[in-house]
Amino acid sequence: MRDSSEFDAFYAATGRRLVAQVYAMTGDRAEAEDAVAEAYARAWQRWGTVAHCHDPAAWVRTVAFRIAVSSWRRAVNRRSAHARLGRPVPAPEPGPDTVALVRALRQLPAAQRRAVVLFHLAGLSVGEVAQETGASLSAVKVRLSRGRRALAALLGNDQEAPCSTTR
Amino acid sequence: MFDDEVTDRLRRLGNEIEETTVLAPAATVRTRGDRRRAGAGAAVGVGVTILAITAGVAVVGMDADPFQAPGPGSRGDRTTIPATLVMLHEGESGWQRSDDPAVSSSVNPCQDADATLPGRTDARTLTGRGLAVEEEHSPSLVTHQLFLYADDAAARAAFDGLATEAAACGWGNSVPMMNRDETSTMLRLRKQDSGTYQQVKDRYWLHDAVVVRDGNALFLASSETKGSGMTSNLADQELGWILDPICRARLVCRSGWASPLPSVPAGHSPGDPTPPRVLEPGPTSK
Repeated sequence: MRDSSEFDAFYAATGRRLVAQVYAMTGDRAEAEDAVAEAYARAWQRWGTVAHCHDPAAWVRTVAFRIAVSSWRRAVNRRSAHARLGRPVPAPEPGPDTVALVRALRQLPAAQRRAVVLFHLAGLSVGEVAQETGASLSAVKVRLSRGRRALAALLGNDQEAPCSTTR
Repeated sequence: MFDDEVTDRLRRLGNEIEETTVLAPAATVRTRGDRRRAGAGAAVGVGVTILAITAGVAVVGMDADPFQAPGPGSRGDRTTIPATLVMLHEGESGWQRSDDPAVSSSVNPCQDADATLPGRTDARTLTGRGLAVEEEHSPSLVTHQLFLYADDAAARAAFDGLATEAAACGWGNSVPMMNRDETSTMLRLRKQDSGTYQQVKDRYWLHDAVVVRDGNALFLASSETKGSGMTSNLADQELGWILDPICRARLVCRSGWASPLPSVPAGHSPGDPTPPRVLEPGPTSK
């Protein structure tokens, strides 16, 4: 028998946080909300086993990410079609800082973006990121390093080279 | 930009989204899940009906055209690999093919009895060098193995045996993944020595494997890399390319799988990518 009150409490405690994380991974808030909702529906569908996972939120996040990435592919195709037709895609976004950050994140390769979000936003350790993404520890470290460097450049906050005072 | 700046900005983004997200009521989500559950049950019923109607056609049709798209109930009833199956990399320079049905598994975590042998009826093995798809890495020895079994239970036992041995003998393994009706299961296995990577790069090694079971078929992709800290070439993207021809032969299909990239190998026409599918993590006991 599935315990709906237990599921409801889990959903209330983790739902918004997972929307934020999947949004940061995909750059599309609507897709993130849809994907997370669908992932929770699937979690409820098999709540008897998911509830006993080591980390049910990681299960939902993994499923939501896969759904969102799948949706993201279709969205990319749609955007390409819009671009070919010269039709701008309306993209209402939150605050300017968030817009800039999400825009920068979108430009990272997917694997780097996912690693950066899991490490910096979800607060996972390098080992946990490796386990969740199926990558090796060293690959995760490289992705984090490259991702941070790319983000810095994209956000224009690179440390500038020191300027010499002597001629 | 320093780490704490990245963290701060991402956390501000997270807080902003969390504060402005209005979740659907939990009851609505549960109802959606319940509908999916009911839908899955109905789909099974429809599948059984279709199987009953098309059984005769399938028996004749499989040998006539093993590459047509898989249909309901069309897998799990083969015990020999069709001669017409061409696996990825077959015929390419540097790749060798073996049809020995008793070939050793490329992954034997405890280096003892081969868990994939009992009940095996046929096998095909491709061995070659790795491809640098995602990131640069040292050349890898890559093995693709397709095993068929007398029945689903034997394939399941081989899959479970590999997972159990991996856990017992120091291999890291991922959360087992499964499709919605749990007829298809997948596991990633990895053993590595990364401790020496920073100090003595040449001594670094990585043995990476993906095991996919579908019905009575088991697919095993294994990559052994030395001298590099990079991942091997078993990303989801490449796995899709490897499995596509095998799936078209009605053997291993990752039904319910989501791949982030079109499932088309380099050099092939990207005109008809495999439809996106979703694979879900399986349970991991506390």
